[in-house]
Amino acid sequence: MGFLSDDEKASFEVLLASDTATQKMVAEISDDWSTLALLSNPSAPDSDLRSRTLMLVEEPTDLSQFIESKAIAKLRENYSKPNARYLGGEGTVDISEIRDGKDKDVILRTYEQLLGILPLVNGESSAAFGDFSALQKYAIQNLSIKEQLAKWSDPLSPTEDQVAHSLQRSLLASLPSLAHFIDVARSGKTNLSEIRRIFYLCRDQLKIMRASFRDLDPQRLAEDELIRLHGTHLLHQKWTGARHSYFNSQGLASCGNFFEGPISERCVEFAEYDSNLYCLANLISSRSSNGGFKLELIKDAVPGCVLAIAHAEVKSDLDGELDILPSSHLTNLPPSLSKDACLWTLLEGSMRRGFPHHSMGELSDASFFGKQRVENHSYLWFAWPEIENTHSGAVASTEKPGQ
Amino acid sequence: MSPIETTHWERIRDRKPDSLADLYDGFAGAMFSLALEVLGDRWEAEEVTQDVFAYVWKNPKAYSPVKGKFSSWLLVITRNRSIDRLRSRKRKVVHGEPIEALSNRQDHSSEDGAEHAVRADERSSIKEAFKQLPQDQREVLELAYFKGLNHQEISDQLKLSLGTVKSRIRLGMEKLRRALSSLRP
Repeated sequence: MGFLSDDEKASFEVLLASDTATQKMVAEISDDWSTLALLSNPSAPDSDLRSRTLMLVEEPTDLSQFIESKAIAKLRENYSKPNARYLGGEGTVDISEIRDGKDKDVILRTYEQLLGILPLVNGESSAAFGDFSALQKYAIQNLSIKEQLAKWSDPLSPTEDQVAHSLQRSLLASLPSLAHFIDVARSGKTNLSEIRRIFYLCRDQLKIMRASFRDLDPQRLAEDELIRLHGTHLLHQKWTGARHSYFNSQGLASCGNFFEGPISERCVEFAEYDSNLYCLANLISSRSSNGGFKLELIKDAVPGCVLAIAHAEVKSDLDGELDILPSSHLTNLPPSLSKDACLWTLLEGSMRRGFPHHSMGELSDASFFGKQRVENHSYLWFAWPEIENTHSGAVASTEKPGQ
Repeated sequence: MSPIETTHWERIRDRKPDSLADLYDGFAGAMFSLALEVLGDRWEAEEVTQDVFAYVWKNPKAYSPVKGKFSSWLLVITRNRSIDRLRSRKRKVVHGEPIEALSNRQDHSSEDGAEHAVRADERSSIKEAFKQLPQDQREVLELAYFKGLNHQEISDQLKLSLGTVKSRIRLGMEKLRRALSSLRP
């Protein structure tokens, strides 16, 4: 029950490998520990945890055709890192820059409402232990975000305006999914798995909003701006087996190849990365033949770069829609695709910030982001500069502080 | 505790179909209960449980039968990872205030609970034996096991000498071991 110094640990390991008396002693201590574990109050994990855990044994996706595609070959040829790695936080605006007072109200009210929801769904809340009444009551007392969002997002159209991007990022990335699950909780027909999903989505949404509007919550934003490494495991935990919703479509995410290691250096960078992933997830899940889609994070395909990939089986007519989303094609855009085009332009904006040494044309031509069809699968991806050397910043292991 | 021993580990190591599902069904409840007891946070406890299964699946050779029972080893890892999280969360241990007792949290979702994962009689015996310990021994065991404090930290917190902390832990563990010896082969 004590702790050994590093030198003591090394000597002990040597002893443990060779000395039977030491092995016997360790085995006995291990048994003693497990005896104490029985003092814990018995609690059952949600059945959803079983499904998520068993996803671990699925064979990793074979991405070879995608990685060997012309698009990724082009990226490999042209990829170059920026001189200074982008740490997120650019592309933010003041709330006062929002011209329409109603829009401003929606942002302020939504943020306030979500701050109120977070403690009702965190891991210590009564909802996390099966009593959903407080959450339902709160959701009923407040306006339905889903209804507000449906009304508000109609006139959204793709643009390069920064204020519009901050609004769109706040409304179209994680909010549609979150609004859906809160509405389910409002109806009282929710379950533990959805409460967990609300918790992760709500936490992400609040960070995305703070990163989009610098004066929304300066105190928490200051926390988000501290150097704190974020590992891929945080994305793996929240996306494995995650139910997803984007307006009228429902989907189920799974995680394929995920390298292990840091992916962002600050919460504001992680918020932007998250937002980009939600954009991909929204675009692909709403077109998936069966609602299922896969996220992958790979590091070796292009040196110096992390590739985030979302893919699914998509029928060819829906795949064709993805080809016309890039801003270069906006003149031909059907109105039904307006929101989706906004998601694409948000991704373009983020790419521009991440790789400022390239023009948008270069980024697009060199496949820093894009869409590729391989057989009956559609792949969407974006590149992000890898973190080469981990420095001495704190590590965000649970993201619990500064929610 | 139900005997989840080396055959489970060998099946995991040999990548047998359903081996992870079987291990999960036999043991997730006990692992999750322990993580939840330490962390008090359901989502974090789920993450720890899932992490441990992922670790075992990816690194089956991290375990070796010389380390004791596979089941005990799993609980040791679960406890250590939970304590790591607790420490990284920098949750304050309250100085000079009454020490939190083991939770009496009501889990509305666990009516058919995790009892299948461990023998209920063993659980109730250890709880009963624990209740019979003097309060000062219970206190140091809880701080060491569920709060992850080392001897020195317990000594500082309770304002006791290091020797007293060590002897209370040793005495407490010996009594628990004796109480359980009649249940174990």
